[in-house]
Amino acid sequence: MNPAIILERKTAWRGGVSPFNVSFGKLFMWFFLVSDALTFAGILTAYGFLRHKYAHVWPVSGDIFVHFPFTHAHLPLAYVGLMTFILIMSSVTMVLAVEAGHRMNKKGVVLWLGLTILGGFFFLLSQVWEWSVFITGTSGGTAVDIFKDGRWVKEIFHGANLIRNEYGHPLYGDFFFFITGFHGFHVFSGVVINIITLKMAVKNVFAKRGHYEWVEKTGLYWHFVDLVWVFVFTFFYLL
Amino acid sequence: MDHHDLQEVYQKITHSEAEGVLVRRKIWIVFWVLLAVTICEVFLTFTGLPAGVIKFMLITMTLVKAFSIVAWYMHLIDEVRNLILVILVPFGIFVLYLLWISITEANFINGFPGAPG
Repeated sequence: MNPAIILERKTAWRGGVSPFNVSFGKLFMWFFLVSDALTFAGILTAYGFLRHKYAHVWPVSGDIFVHFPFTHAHLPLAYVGLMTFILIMSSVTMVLAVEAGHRMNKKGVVLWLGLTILGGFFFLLSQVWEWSVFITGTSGGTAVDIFKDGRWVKEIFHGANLIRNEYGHPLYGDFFFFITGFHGFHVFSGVVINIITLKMAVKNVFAKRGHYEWVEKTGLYWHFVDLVWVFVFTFFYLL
Repeated sequence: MDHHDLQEVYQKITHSEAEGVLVRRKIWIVFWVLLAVTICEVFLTFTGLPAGVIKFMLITMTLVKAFSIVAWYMHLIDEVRNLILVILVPFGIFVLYLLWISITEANFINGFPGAPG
């Protein structure tokens, strides 16, 4: 914070100044992120609640996510770990883009923002792959109760949908689709926003404006997406 | 807010080349911390320690990662103290309430001794 603009407590709210010392856009990006964080907090709390209610039939994520593209090796959680690494890496490139913006360095902003978008794409494709593996399921499958012709019968079921899955309690699949889907949609919109920002940077919009604050605001959103994944990774995959 | 004040606000979002070197060093330090903690988390899951210990350590490590991201990547630590409070306090109150209500209700739904129903 610039010490030159520390405001007097008595005059800070009389108008004409910015008491929080941030622009309107940044302030409301923060408020939006707080509300979005509450949404995720609610979803993850619901997950924890129902997981403990059905603890005896709840599957272990480490037993399900054991696949790695282009290999048949048994690597529990390795690919999710890699996805986490990609997302952290894209957070680093994002914060480097913000830093380059602080130096009014257009080249730097374009380079780092471009890498951030690549990271985002890679993460999205990884999630598509993981969903398809989860939905397809194992070749063995599991016998589950299915209601057919007016009575319950045991039938081999592969993979997962919203009603049943071969891994354990149906709610596990529901939470998987809902949590990673909701987070994935945030990643998707973050990538779109980053592409728009990149286009604006290339067209010198920020250079003409005299500051790269826009990049800082999209950066806040992108870091938030990474922040949510930190929690999803722990609570859904590891615990 | 007139144009002059806006310029003042934007002053703090630019810095010199020399400052940039320091900022970038900090960014990479935070990156190595995040990476190390993530790797530790994955390994911890397969150590076979008691479940309660693993749970406690994982949640602590996750909070360390969350703090690093919010403080240094989202630069919240550099903001005015009142802004930090306006962002963190309402969130903290709601999350503590959520935790309290879910633990209370979980005790009831799992039928601990003396629970009604």
